[in-house]
Amino acid sequence: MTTIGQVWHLVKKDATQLRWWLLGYLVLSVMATLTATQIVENEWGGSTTIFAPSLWLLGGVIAALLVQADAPVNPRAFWASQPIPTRAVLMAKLSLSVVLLLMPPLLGELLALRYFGITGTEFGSLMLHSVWLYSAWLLIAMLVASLTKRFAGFVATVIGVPVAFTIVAITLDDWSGQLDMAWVPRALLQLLATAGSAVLLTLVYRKRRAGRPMLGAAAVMFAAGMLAVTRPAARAERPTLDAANAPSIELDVVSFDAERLRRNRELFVQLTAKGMRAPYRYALLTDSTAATWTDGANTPLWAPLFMNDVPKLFGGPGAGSELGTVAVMLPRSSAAKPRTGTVTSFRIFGAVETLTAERVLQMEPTGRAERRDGDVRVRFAGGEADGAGVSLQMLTVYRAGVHVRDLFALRRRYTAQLVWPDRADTVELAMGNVSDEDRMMVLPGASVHRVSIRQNSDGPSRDSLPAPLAEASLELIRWTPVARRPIVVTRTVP
Amino acid sequence: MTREQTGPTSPAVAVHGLSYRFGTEPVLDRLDLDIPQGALYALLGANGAGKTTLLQLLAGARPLQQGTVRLFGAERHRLSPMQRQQITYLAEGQELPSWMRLSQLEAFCAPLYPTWDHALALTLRARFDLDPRQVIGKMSRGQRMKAALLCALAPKPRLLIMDEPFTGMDAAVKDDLVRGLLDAASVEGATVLLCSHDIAEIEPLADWVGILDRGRMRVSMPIDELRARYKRIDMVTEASLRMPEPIPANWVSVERAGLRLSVLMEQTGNARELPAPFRGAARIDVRDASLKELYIALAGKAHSQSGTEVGA
Repeated sequence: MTTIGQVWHLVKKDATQLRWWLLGYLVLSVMATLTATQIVENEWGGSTTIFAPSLWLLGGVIAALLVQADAPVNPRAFWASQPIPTRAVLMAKLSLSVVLLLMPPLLGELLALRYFGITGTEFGSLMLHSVWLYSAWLLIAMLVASLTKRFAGFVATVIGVPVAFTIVAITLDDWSGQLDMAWVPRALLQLLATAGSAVLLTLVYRKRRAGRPMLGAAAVMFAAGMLAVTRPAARAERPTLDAANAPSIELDVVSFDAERLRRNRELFVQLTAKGMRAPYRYALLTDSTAATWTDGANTPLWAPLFMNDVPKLFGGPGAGSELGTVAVMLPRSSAAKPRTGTVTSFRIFGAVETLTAERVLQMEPTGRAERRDGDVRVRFAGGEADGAGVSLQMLTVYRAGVHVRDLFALRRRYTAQLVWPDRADTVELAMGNVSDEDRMMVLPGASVHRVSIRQNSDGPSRDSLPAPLAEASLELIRWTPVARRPIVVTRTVP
Repeated sequence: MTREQTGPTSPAVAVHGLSYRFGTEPVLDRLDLDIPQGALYALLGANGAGKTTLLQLLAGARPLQQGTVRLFGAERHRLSPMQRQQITYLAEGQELPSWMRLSQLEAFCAPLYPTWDHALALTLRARFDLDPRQVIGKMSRGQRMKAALLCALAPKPRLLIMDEPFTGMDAAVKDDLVRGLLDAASVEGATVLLCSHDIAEIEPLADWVGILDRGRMRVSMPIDELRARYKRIDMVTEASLRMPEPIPANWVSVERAGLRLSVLMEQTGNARELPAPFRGAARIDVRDASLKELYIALAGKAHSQSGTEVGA
């Protein structure tokens, strides 16, 4: 039997052994593609969070099972007792990986990119990038599997390395505060992760031993791969708080039903403000709210809105004088000991923050943009350069997890608006899927991303959009506090 | 298909200066070994002597580090595919593809060996009482070993390397395996290299024997020659008889219990007779030493004479 014959013989054996895994992988790949192109709407609200990571994980698992079916470092493996040269084993594993693990998701990528209307250089660049991502992941998975005799060892390594990596990254990040990873030569890392893994994999098959130098080199490849697909959040500069120069507002409680508070233990307080000016926005923070009763006692109130010291963003262009409505309620302990009489006054102790728009991140929707079931879906490519300011993480990615080029942890609060430049019109959007202080584990994956952005309830309805979405661009706006002043708002019951 | 004849007069196995280390731990140390074609060679040695590593190196299950290994005159790492297909390897604890049925295993192995004999495979399957539909993962240990032996014998190899094939087997299974082995040894002058702790089991099979100790060959010769060379002499002596000082160099082992004295003596050159005081001992019984006695004595002597070659 020739070497090619042996390769084909082994491929058939492996395909038979892993047939159910491979079938599952192909089904997942098709599902990911269909949901990416929105031919199939998945039941998780269109966020497609399940297929992409599953596809990615399953690919790694199958690659590991494939390698460990004929473990190169196990002298008791069956293939080692047979007249099969190691190069035939390696070629068989690589061939099957390329045809059945690499090609299906890449074909899905290709279809998704075509669906989104991406052509030309951008298409080539994104496809190339996808080829790199999938190849790197599969090669690294195969490398780790080749150095471990058992699947448990593979799993422990694949979980352990990223966890260690994340811990180190977070620690470094905390140390430096403003760690800038832009210096990392990403192209070199990508080359190291793929070419290095391929060379090392070949070497493992040649040497058939998992010595310490080999394990160390594999750890370097793994880390290089992780670094290559991970980018730290780029950060905007810290704003200077200058209360003197910031415009101030006056808050007023315009509606207050003391009797309702006593009976229902809950009421809604309507707040208005005077002096709000564009382009500023205002946020109300409060440490406590309290009610004073006719017998003179004070009862702290619980205002869920102000929990966790998260400021409530109010106001803005066109918002008028009404800030909004705050729900307050009596704590449970007060119910056990009801006060007599009614509430005579209500107070808010807190601060008003003045915010200004900073580092507006503008993205052009490209290709296909759709509205469906009240959700606006925009496929947009772009982002800020490394270290230049705020960055964007699209938490719902279609395919396998990580778009490397412009995927970051979004650490600050954003608002988003669709802008029709020709019409000088905007629609306010609420991004339900942006992270605040989250540190997300970044996974490798493909290039097509989708962010589901819901319209704000305060904004115009989807039927009243001023023009087709394709004419609009998307802006992400970070509101940065520029001033904070203490405030006490008192409302006395007439 | 005709067998590729590479050096018909070359030894089946010729090892020279073979060294192997696990990290910094030496396992084989400048080992030399020749096994003639057609021999059924029993490789003996204590645990950790390096037997398994040696066989894995011969079978190609491990890459060489230092030294040369020639199989039928060709360097092992330069064997042609045809030459490689004439060597089979079977080891205790060897992993088989547990998801396969026996028939699938045979179908997988057969194309790898041009000399695969389907009729022989059927015969062995029947002799070993194996069900071709049975999944290997669900076989007993003995059944798995039989399946592995079937795959090792059906190609009618020129060289069959076996590492502890009888470990953990009951008597009936052992008997099946031994019969299978004898069949293999009789097929076209196949060479069998067998390593086992079960000395009694392999003694009737082997015509060559080698003792490996701490990575080096202490003895390697035909078993008949070994027996002719070492004799067990049992005698009853007088109580006043004192042991010679020093013990003669050709006394490999001495056991004394009361008046009974048992000597394993190497008969070389002039040293074929007992020293004078012992010649008059009553009830002198001279017989061939068993392989087990030889192994225990020679391995023990090798330990006591660290670094000194014993025998050939």
